[in-house]
Amino acid sequence: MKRQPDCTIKEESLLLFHYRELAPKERLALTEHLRQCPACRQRLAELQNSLASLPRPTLELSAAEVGWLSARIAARTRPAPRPRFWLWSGAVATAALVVSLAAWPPTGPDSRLGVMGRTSGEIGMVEDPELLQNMDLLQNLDLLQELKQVG
Amino acid sequence: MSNGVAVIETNGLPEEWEVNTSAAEEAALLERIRQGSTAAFDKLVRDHLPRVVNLAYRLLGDRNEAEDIAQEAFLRLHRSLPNFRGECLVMTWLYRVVSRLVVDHLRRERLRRRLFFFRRDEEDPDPVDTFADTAPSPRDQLLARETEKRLFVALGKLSARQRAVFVLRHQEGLPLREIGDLLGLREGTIKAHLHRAVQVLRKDLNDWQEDTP
Repeated sequence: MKRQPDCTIKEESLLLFHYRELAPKERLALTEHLRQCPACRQRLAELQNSLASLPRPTLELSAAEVGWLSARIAARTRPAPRPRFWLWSGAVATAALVVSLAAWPPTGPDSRLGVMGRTSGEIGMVEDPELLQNMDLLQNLDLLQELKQVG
Repeated sequence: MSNGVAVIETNGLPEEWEVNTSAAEEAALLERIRQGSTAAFDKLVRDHLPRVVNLAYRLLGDRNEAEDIAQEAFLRLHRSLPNFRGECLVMTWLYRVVSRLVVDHLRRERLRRRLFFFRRDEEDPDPVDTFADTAPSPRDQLLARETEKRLFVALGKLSARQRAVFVLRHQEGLPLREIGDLLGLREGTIKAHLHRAVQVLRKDLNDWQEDTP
């Protein structure tokens, strides 16, 4: 089908005509042209057929699917639980107290004796003469047992 | 992607966009959400979810990705509600966010594929799409289903913006001026994208129909 010799209609214009996106003046002019140009009418018809044949994909969401997705969205909108700073701060404070008490310089007579560097267990033993006596007795007992084995 | 103040100037939505709640009901619902009502937000989500998922599906062609995008859109809506001034419908706002999320997603995905296949020319067909084309469809599959699949393949050959413009105009019935607002593009650019998209789709689908026995 022949186009009119002066036909300058572009495909984009026909497309915009189809979608009713031409300005009123342009639309009027093209409508008039289409009346006189069978080739453009044919082009427009082919374009419209092509576009009409395109499917419109659609998902059918069941009520259960909508509910499931809504629940997921709702769960993600909830604020994340805040870290328990009060719990951690209590634990840190307790640990700091224990460390500071252990490192605190003793005020007893041993501090004057220069026992720095000994462990607190050793310091305790030094402060307890009864324990020392018991240890002496144990050592003596061991010595006696060794002598008995030799003898 | 902006997720801040939710304002667009117009509300010229197609009739099918309208949900069952009026503007006044929607405003009341939004106020309840701002006051902390989780039930109100749940209702808002349920009202709009099918339409939002379908929009994302038409844009992406993948159900799982569509559901992910829809979730992200609602999360952004939830975060934006304190700034939501009610100058547009929630649906309009969701369409804008989904469209932009999809465009970003498609661009990232395309870049990832290009990096993977080391294509030399941008105009070359995407190898992933070509692989998808070669999968033989069962003979007993419905023609409509096959056409739908073919449409998604053809849409995959468009740029992210061309694809978004085509789906929003042709399948969602949104005026070009609205699409320009949604995507932040000028009307002339939108028209050029639409024209290019229709050219590619017509050629691709015509070729396919001619090859189909």
